[in-house]
Amino acid sequence: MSVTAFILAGPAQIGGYLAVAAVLFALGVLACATRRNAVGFLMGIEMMLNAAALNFAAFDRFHVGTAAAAGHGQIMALFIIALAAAESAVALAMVYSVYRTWRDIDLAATSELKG
Amino acid sequence: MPASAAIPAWLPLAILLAPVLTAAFLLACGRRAGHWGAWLSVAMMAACFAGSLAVFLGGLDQGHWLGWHSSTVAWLAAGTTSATPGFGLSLGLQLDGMGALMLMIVTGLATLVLLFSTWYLHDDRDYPRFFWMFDFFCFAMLGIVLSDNLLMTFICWELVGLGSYFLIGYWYDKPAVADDTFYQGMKAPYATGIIESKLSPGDAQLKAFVMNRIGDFGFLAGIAITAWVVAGWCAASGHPATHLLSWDTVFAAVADGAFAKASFAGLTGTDLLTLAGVGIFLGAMGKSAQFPLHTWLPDAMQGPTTASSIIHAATMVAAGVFLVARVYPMLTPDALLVVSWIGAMTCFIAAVIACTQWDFKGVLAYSTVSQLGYMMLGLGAGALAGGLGAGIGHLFTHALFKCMLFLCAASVIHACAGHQDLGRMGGLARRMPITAGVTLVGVLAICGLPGFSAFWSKDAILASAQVAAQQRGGLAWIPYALGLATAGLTCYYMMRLWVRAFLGPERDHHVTHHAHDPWPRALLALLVLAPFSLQAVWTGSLNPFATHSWLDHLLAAPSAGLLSMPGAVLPSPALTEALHHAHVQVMIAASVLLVLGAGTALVVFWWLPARGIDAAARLRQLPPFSWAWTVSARLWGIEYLYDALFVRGLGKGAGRGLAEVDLGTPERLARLDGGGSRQTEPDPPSLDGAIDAGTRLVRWIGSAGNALQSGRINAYVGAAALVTAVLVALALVG
Amino acid sequence: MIDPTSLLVTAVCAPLVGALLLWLPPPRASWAAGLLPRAVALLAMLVSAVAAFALAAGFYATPGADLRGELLLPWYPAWGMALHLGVDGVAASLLALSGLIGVVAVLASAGISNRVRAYHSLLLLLMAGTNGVFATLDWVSFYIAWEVMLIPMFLLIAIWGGEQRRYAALKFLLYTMAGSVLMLVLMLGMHFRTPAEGVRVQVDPAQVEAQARPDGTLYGLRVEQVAPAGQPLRYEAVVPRSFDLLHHSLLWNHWRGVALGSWALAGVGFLVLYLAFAVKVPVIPFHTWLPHAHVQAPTAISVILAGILLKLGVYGFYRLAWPLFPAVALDWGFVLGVLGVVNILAAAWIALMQDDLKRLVAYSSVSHMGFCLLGLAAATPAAISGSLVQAVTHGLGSAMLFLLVGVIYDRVHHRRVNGFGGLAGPMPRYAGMFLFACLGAAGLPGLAGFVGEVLVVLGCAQSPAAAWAGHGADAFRWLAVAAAAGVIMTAAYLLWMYKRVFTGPVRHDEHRALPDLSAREWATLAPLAVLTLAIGVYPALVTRLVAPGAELLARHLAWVATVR
Repeated sequence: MSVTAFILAGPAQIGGYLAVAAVLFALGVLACATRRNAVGFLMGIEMMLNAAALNFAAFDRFHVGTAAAAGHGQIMALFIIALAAAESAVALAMVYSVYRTWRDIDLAATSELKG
Repeated sequence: MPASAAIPAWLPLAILLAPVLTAAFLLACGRRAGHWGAWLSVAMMAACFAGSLAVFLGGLDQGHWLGWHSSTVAWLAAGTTSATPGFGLSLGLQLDGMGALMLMIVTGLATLVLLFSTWYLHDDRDYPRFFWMFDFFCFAMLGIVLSDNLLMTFICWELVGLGSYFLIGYWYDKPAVADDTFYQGMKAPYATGIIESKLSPGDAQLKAFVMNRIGDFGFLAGIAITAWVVAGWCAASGHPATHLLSWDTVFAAVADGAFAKASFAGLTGTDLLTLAGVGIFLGAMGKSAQFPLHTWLPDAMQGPTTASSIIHAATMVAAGVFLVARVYPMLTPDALLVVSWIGAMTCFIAAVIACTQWDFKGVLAYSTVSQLGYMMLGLGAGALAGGLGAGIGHLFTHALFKCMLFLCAASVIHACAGHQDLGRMGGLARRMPITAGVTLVGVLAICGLPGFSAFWSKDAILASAQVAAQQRGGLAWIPYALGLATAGLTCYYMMRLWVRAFLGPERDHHVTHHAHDPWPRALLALLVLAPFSLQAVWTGSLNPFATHSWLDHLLAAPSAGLLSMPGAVLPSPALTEALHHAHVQVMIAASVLLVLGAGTALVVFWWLPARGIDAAARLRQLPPFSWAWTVSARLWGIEYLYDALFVRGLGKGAGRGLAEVDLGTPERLARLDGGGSRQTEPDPPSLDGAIDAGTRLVRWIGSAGNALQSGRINAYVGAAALVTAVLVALALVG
Repeated sequence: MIDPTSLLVTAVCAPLVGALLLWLPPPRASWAAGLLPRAVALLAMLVSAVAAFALAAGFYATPGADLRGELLLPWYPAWGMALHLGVDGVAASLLALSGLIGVVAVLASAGISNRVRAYHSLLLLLMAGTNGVFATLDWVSFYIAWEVMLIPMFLLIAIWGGEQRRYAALKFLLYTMAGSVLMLVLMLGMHFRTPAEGVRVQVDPAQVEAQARPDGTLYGLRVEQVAPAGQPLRYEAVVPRSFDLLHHSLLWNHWRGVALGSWALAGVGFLVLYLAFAVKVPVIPFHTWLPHAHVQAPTAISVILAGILLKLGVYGFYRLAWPLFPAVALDWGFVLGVLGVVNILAAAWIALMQDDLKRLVAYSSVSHMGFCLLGLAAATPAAISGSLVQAVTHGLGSAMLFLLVGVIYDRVHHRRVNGFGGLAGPMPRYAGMFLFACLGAAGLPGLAGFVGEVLVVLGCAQSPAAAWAGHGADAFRWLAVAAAAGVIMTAAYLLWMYKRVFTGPVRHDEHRALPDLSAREWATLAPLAVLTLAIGVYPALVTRLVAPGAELLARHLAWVATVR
């Protein structure tokens, strides 16, 4: 079954969850694409990660995968949370480094890095 | 033609090569050659003359001249394909009566002029240079005389042009006459017609070479067409093509109707042959200074007068006439019509100009142009109207008396401390009686006084022209009329020359007070030449009204091919009768014109001034004469026209236009690579600019791509998201 | 009698070995910086020149259209790649010219004072590439040698050149590379489109007659005589897939049947090859790199550029474009002839108005090369001979002119024609040599330039190529007349330039004390002048080398015209 067909014809409630995740993801992309504040940018990344986690959880809840893979979606969501935390730490360290150089966390200032 | 056994095979080749070997030797010796180099040249040329005399006598057989032909040497060859006949181009030597006589004249005159030059130029700084240049020129001229094929003639043709280039530019560091204080001081107050900033030995040699090249273009085109037709004929008829452009092969092809089977530009048969003939005649026009390619000859007077005497009087300019006579079997009646018209226009235009020239050499230069026009007029009449004999006869007589006149000019100019203005001379007959006498002989010869050589030869030309006009009818009378008018003008301006220089009071004592006859060897040269201006030498009889010459026996009879061409004049008793009548009529007309022309000159320039009337100055202001004077003095405006049209317009103007279309303006060129001033306006379009615009397109694409690399993370994320979305969409759809 | 293969390999490899030697670190003596590189370079070029002249002498002694000095080294047999060296008379004559120009250029490089070692090694590399182009008979090594020439030339102009050297060098590189990259694509495309099992083709009897080896094979292929029903006896061979240019020349009819989009591959192929070589010749409108490159390059590099690099374009036409796609060459022959005549006339007019002496001589080169293109387009033995002779003689003549311009530039450091005047006074021998060179370039009979021009004009006048191209039979005769008109403008611009520079009174006082030609300058000019005079008086020195190849090509084209 193609993905589109599945979303449209699958178990009714999953559509809602997938839609919410999609909207969250889009908002996250928008945040990354538009926010000049580095922290805001990182928030956008968090949103994207959480949207993906929501997607995993939804598929797991509605038994989309094989029987042996039951519960794997929830595990993936946990992984994502841990990953997001680690990534945030690294990213905030980079933001701090940027702040040290440019005294500002405006991402437009870092365009110098293009070389 | 039957070959002569009395001529050793090596002799003509030795006569040909001796001058160039001497020239190479003298060139290598450079300044060390000094005076012995000059005498070496004289001795060598005298030996060549002796050899030429031996050749001439060796081939003589009861008034006819047996032919002579050397073996040939292959020079270039082209292979054969299924679609193209192959051919070979070879070099070889050949002589007939006309050629043997020309050989003697060239070497003889060269010897005398070299002898004269040892006196004339011996104070000159670059004395040795003159002699190797002169020897080189003689080699090339002898090559034209001895050549047995069209290609070798063309090769020597260009080399003769080179020799002339060298000799005209002998005084290479002389400034333009506009900047030359001596010239400005020397020239007549009414001198006009030339562009003085563009007349110098350097300019004159360039002009001569380029104008000759225009003629050479026609010559080469004519040769190309001839080679194509004759190669095709050789392949079709089985005639060997190894010596493709030799006279024998070409004339055999013409007689066999080769041109009737080929076509070019819609012309075939005799029309195509006419085209080839006119092409070759264009070469003769360049070399023999025919209108409109005549302006280089008066400018060539920038060179030493002795060079002018051999080149621009006797040999090089005669080469054109000689070529026309050589290719006579190829010239159709239409081609001959062209020849006679051009000749007639030349002789009239130049004669008109000569009437007002202030410069001794200038008069002689234009006189030469005019007489060359006469020769072409004669040749254009056609072999059966006696044109060949007439034209060639005048070629020979003119060579001798004009060379002599130029040497007299050299004596006079040398005597007058370099001054050439007739207006400042006068009374020289008292100071230089022998020169005056010899000049008078030459002047009377050119005027055509009965008993002198040109009376016979000019009469022959005009008679032939009259008969030809009778045959052709209609407009063809105009060349004859022009020739007749020119005869009168010639007498006028030549007598004017002699009277102004030699008779009357001395008008400028500073100029003429040191004048005297030249030293022995120069005088010897003049005196040796003087008898050849007498008619008796040429006609072989003491009757001043004789019309036949031993020359007629030396020239080849008209070929069968020529007789069979449409429109050709066929021999008939009526024709002989007409020729005889024409001779009588012309003699009377010419004598009348002589009296009128020479008489006018004597009256205006001697008789009236002796009574205190400056008739010339008064006539210059009187309306009908003043218009004629302006036309003549301003050279018919030809110099101005050529400068505006060809030099500034077609040459430099078109060149500059093309250069700017090609590489752009100088401002653009200075700005390449980032140098130069900032660009204020866009460049006019050019080819190079268009190509650089192409590179600017590439650079624009690059810089547009560069904009994507902004360094802004937000933009990168946005772009990545967009591309991913597109890819996903494609995957979903596809 | 030395084996021609060794001579050929020596001629190609001597400069290469010299270049590699110069890359070794030099001894730390003072003479090593300046003298050693020059000596090594001169020696390498002398060896190469002597070998090339010996090879050419062999062709002079026994003229023929056959290939000599062949050497076949397999490279990558799975793809049919092999190094195939070999020359015919045409290549041998150009190789000899290249050797001579190389020696002269090294002698003329005495003015270079910075980075002498690098300069000479690049020069040797350039000459190695040039010699390689003339020596190969397979497409891969042709392409490699072609590209090998480009970078050294670029560096030589860009580092040692004049004020706008970067612009000129980059323009030269990109322009030439654009053409040769297309050639690479074509080469690979044609190779991989040839059926793997080979193609059966009809062979020109003239080729068999002229170039078959003693064992009866033609280019290593077995030729059989077959008589198909109702047709006369003909030669056929099976051509395998390979990069060999000789094999490709047999496949011409095959490519006419292969389509590329809506065109035949033959048409596209000829266009690509034409563009690649037209940039080098150069043919208007692809010539604008030349004035810049010549003006900005140092004297010796201009000598190489004009003397031998331009001939690579003509050689490319002779070895690749015409043999591989003869039918297309015939179809387009008249257009190419017109382009040749445009070269002759337009470049002469442009040269008239140039103030920079080097740019004037550069346009004079463009004008003379027009005769080469016209001769090839006319497709008769005389015209093609003339074209190839003109290539050789123009190399001598324009090298002389550039050397002479370099002489005055070395003394006064400018090249403006209008900034001179009356130089014949202080420098008479220089003036004499300059006049000699101008007259040679103007095609004065008795000097080398005349031979090529007269052969081309006569060959065009009898050319049947116009009818083959579908135009009126007369078309090439008009071109012959137009080409003959070129003599007028050539004399005009060269001698007018001579007049402004040398005759008249000396216009600038600082010119009065200029020294005349030095011994080194004489040494560079003398061999060129002697050869110019010798070839002018005795053209067989060159025609015996090029005429058999020219006749073979013309016969081949005539055969193609009947068979296609």
